Amino acid sequence: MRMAAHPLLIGEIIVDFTVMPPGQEPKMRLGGIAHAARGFHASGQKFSVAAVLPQYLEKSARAYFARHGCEQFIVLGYVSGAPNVTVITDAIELADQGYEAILRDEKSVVLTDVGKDTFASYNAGLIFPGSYDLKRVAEIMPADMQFYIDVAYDVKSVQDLVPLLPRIRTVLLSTSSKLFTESGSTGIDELAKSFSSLKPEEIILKENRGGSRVHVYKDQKVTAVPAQLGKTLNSVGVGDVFAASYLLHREHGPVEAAWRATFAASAYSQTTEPDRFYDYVQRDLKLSLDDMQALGGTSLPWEARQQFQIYLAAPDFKNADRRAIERALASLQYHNFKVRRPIQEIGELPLGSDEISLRSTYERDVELLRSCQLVFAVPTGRDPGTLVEVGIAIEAGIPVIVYDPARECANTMVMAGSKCYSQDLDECLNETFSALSRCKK
Amino acid sequence: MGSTGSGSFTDYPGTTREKDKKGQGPGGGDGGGGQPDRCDKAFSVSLEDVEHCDYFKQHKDVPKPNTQLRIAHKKRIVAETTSGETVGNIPTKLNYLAGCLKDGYTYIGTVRHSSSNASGAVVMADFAATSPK
Repeated sequence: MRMAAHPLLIGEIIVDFTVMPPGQEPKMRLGGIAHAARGFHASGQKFSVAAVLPQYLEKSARAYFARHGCEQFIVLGYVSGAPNVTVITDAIELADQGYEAILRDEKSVVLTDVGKDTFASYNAGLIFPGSYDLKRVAEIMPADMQFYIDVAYDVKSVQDLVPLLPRIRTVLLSTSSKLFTESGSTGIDELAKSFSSLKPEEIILKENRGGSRVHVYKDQKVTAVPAQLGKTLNSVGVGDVFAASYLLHREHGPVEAAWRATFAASAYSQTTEPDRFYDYVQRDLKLSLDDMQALGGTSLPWEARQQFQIYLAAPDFKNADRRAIERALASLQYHNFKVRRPIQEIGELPLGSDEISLRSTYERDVELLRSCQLVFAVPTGRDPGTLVEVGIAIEAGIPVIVYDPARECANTMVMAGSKCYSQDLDECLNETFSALSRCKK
Repeated sequence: MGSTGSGSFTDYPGTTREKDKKGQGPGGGDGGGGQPDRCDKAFSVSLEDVEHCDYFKQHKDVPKPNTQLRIAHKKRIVAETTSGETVGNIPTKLNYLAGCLKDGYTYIGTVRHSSSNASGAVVMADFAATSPK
């Protein structure tokens, strides 16, 4: 007879070290499976861990996890050769977060001789693959354990997961993972096909600010669950919290589990204080599935983003101050948006160009602008061309997002006429998702 | 944001509540007390779908500045008059208010700007929270 009704969390414990801008203190917290542990804690769920970690972290990790409701802390393996510290330069995933694992090429893992009996009482495991031997872990877990596996990192191919067969219940994958790029970036159908040999009950694609989709294999049905966007404080680990919350609510079906996971993940992105996070999750648990579904949110599937054209209104010239423009471009392109760049596509006219060239270029720019669904403006240096483009778009009823980090154009017409005017790229990105999500409807 | 600095891990459960009790609220700086509860925050908002809501349909107009409003959870989170007429939807970025309302928070506000013309109906309002405690 099994005793443990709580899940087993399997994976590495890492230290997340976030580098902040000059003048601000760096931030540090436990990462890896600690994110999912916080998700369990905030839901009031006890859990146990089978952890891979460097020895120096063991004492503090044991204390930390115990305070979060960890019943049994089992060391599955030790890391040597590397401190298991990840340096993060973008904590809110505006673009590629630039994770830097220190001494990663020197890292090795030696699994302990913990035996099968240790895990006999567990029947649900949430696995985050890492630098450890997944095959060995599969061998020591109970034959009838159901695995929920988040394959965001450290899985090179679907074949790597074969040792877990036939126990995989749910596969979770993020659009920010390399595996997604290699196995399904053209759509959820292709992705589901790629993982079908593992015979999971469902596969979930987490699409960052565009929400998530659940593909249930039994009836081949896909359900889109919108994102709950808010001011992002730190998005590191939100996908892990999603996975933990999903597991906890899976007994109510994959759709309700995904909705609850979405709300928990959103809450985690808005605070890094465990008490606040706990309160947010507990409040959201008072909402019914109907409540959550009626609230709506932002849904913009990965591949659908290419159907929308975003006109970049900016001094996108070779010799301009390009810092803000490059940040915006990197962010939009990272999120798979189709950015139309008139100066790159139609041309940069030299000073003193003749009237016909000017007129022709103007008309082609305006035509391109009018064919786009959104204008993203970066008016660096109060560029007059950009401001004219903003005006044309406002008059045409095309939503305008203005990213103005230096607040150079904090002008009534620009601010009030735009859907969003902000110094904050996070806010501009959210509003871009939101506007195009509404456009889709 | 988690533990500040790199000396030790300080973001343990209980630290924020301790700081809250001691009155060391937002601005505390380290693992606890630095981030205000989102339910406590005041907010300014431009209401959505104003023309499709009860108030506009009934009055063929928008409520005048200084009209008192409150936040309610119908299907969406909405702003309504004190007599319960829905004026507009609150943007989904504030959906977290649903949990706050379930927890007993209330939000009262006033119309700061409103207009209705050929390009559409606009209602902008400010709201402040009242905690259930």
